Amino acid sequence: MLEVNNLTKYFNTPSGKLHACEGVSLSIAKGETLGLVGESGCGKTTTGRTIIRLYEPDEGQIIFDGHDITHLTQKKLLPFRKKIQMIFQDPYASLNPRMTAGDIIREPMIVHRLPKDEHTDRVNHLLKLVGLNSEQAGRYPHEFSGGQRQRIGIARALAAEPEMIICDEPISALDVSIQAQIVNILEDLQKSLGLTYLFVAHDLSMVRHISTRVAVMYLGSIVETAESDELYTRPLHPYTVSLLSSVPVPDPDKSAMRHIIPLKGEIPSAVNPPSGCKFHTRCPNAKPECSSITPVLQDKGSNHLCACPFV
Amino acid sequence: MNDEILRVEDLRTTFTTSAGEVKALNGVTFSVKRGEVLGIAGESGSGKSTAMLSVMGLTGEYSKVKADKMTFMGEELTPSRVKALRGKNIAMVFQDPMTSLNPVLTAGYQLEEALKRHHWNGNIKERVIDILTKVGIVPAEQRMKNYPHEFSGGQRQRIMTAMSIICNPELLIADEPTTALDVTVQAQILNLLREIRKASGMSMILITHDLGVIAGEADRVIAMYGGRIVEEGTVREIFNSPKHPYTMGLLRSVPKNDGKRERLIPIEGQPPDLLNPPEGCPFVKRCPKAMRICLRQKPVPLTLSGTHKYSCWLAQKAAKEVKE
Amino acid sequence: MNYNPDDFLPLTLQEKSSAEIMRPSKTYWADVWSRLKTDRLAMLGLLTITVIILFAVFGPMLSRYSYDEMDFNFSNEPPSLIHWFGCDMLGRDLFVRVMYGARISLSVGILASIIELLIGVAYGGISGFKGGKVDDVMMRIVDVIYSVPAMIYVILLMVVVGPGLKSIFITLGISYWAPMARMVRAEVMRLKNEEFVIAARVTGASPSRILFRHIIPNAMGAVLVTLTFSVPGAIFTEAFLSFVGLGVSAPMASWGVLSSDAVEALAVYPYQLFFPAAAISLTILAFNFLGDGLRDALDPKLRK
Repeated sequence: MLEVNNLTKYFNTPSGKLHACEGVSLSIAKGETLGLVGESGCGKTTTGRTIIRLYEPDEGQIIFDGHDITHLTQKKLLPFRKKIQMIFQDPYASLNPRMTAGDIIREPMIVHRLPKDEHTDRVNHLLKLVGLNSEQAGRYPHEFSGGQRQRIGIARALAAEPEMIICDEPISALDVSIQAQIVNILEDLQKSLGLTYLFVAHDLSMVRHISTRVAVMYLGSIVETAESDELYTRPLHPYTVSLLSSVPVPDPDKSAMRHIIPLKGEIPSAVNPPSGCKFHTRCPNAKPECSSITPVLQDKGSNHLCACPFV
Repeated sequence: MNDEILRVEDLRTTFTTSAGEVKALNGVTFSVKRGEVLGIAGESGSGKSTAMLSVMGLTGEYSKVKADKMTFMGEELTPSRVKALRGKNIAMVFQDPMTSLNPVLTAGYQLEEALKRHHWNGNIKERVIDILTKVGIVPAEQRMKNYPHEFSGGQRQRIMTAMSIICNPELLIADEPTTALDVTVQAQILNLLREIRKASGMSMILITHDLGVIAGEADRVIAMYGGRIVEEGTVREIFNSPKHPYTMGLLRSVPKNDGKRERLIPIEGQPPDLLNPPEGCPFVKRCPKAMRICLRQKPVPLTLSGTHKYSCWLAQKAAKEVKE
Repeated sequence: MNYNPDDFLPLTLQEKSSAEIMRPSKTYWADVWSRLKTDRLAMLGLLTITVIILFAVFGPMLSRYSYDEMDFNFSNEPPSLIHWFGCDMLGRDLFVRVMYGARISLSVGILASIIELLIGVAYGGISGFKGGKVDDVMMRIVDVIYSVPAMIYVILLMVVVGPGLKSIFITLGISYWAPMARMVRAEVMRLKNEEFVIAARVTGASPSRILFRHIIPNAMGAVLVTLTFSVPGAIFTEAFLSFVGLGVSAPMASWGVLSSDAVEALAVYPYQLFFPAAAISLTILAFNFLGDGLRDALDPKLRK
């Protein structure tokens, strides 16, 4: 469905070239969910946005459904815009406050010239699909709660009948009890519409729950990918190991038993990333050669890729 | 009851807004013991932060705070008393380390100010270096000359933590102290707070929506919903045998991550409308087991054991009889 | 305690939803208006402006006198029941002249705002939306326009076009939209990185759709406030230009002209300056009150 090869995106900042995403390669099969996790500033959002061509990639290739869309003009991109949609993090900022819920959901239909007489029916259908009712179409975003707004965002993403949705931290701004509602909706829609997801998030336990495969990013590069349960039960890369050990467990008995492997120091600046393996400055098992060799993802068995030659 | 450091009874706070009176707290009673960590769980609008701000007298001019009793170490908490205790005996750490530090003053200067304000007797500079070293900002002597923007988010939160504990408070109120941070940094901060508690015997109120953090840190837990405490108990009582439908729902809605990947069970519905709270139980609209009485009458708190209490009509014998 | 067993029957879905209270839907502007209504000073300003406009439009029609009718019997007549504001040196009724002056002063203010709205919003909108080199060039042009004092335009135009309303309009038209363009540009710059604009781009919406459906409507609040604050500026500029003799000429009367005429006789007939000056001050004050109120009403931070 989607294949990304060696995707690289730099930003020019006053302090220098920011390596937001460097040599990212990933692939997602139809109907699958790929979780993309990492800490703030690791480039996961940039990766998502570059894939959907909000940013012009500096290097690499984006292949969607067999078509290379890396350098298509915005005009030629339009048919693909219909097929890849996005759900955003902030349910308050991602809806235009001057438009009604109905108009927000209708917009993609107008842009992609769906038959006009079907618009209203489709808006009502979509509202129902995400658990809202058609009377709410005339209301403005500020009249909805956070969870309801996120549902409107999902309905908008579905309006153009996409095949793939990039979910950019879709639940991190919501209350715990609401998060589960949204995750369930996303799972139901995936089943009924055969959607493919790229699920970008920092909440590791939700990612494990929703993803088929998970990719872990650190400072702009993917350090490990594996089947979801495989990654969580048998993490290989020292960064993944430390990251997973830090996740709090909502169970006082297990919590007392868990062993946190702390990371030393602070995350280095993406303007001046460390040479060689970017993680070597904080890695508990760093060796002298780590600062010179650039690690590549290697298959460690059962499709478990890890960018550390020493595990 | 001498080991009770903070006691609050029937706390009620309302805010006046253009849309009407918002009842943020409707009778909240709790206490914190010496050396204890009290976790407060609840979602936005549950009143968990408001409760703490009310105790500290920081709710602002558009609010009314009423309580039957508010005492700190046995002393009545009058507004002037709170002012004297604030920052010295009761300290607070907030969620956003970015806005809580003054960007034009060095970290060291701000820490020294905090000491001077509370008449620290002893060498001020020594204390600042000591506390910065303790929170892992090293080398402290040089880093204290840096401005807030020269620190990372995690470091700023550590400086904020340093500032709050610099006067050796008896009670630290931490309001979502790690929510804005990454998990690895969160682990560092929580670890730091744990060490400080171990060394000084400080009590802590930990407000967070992250059940994992509560499970790991708290001794006792209060679950709040719609401005009321719905359940209260030791951390094991709450996590292993929750009684209130809200607490049960909350625990069920987080993934178990046991590899089975079962469908999550969310709490349906939307957060409560504080402008028009239901007459009865605040949770009635979202409760899967709601009964007629829940709409009209507030449930009576029921004590299960010395530590475990909850407010739900389901606990009444009559409810059980009807079910049968 | 005894309870009725009925009370413990499960709630039906219907009973549950009856507990749901939906507040009536309100559009954004209705919401702004309801907040503005609670602001006393702003409403006072709005009322004053309305009254002044009504007087300007209908006042001269209803008056017994006309603005250029001279009656030397009433030369320098102090305020009385017949001539409420008194008369000037030539015996013209000051009340009607102040009302007539309001027409000129207000139309200058309103026309300047329309120019500001059209050019400023379009210019700033394009500059901010395009960004990069286009923005650089467009903003440097604004800098140049803004750095030349309005007086220079006026004096140059006086030579070419001659004094009168026309030169005032051209002056205001050349330079008056610059601050608005800057404000709109900054607002557009901020809005174009908002998630809902990014969402529209992901949808595939065209740049013009994004600009007109998403960005401009969200900048309108700030535009309105700037506009409200700039009307008194234009009125004041006109008054000032007329006062120094660069504005409209006799027998037409703007508030500036009236003040200027009155200054000569200030020591003897102070009321002749008082009324036009009061009209200017009152109008400017009213617009400022309204602008302040609007700004508060539009501030999303105060929203609950």
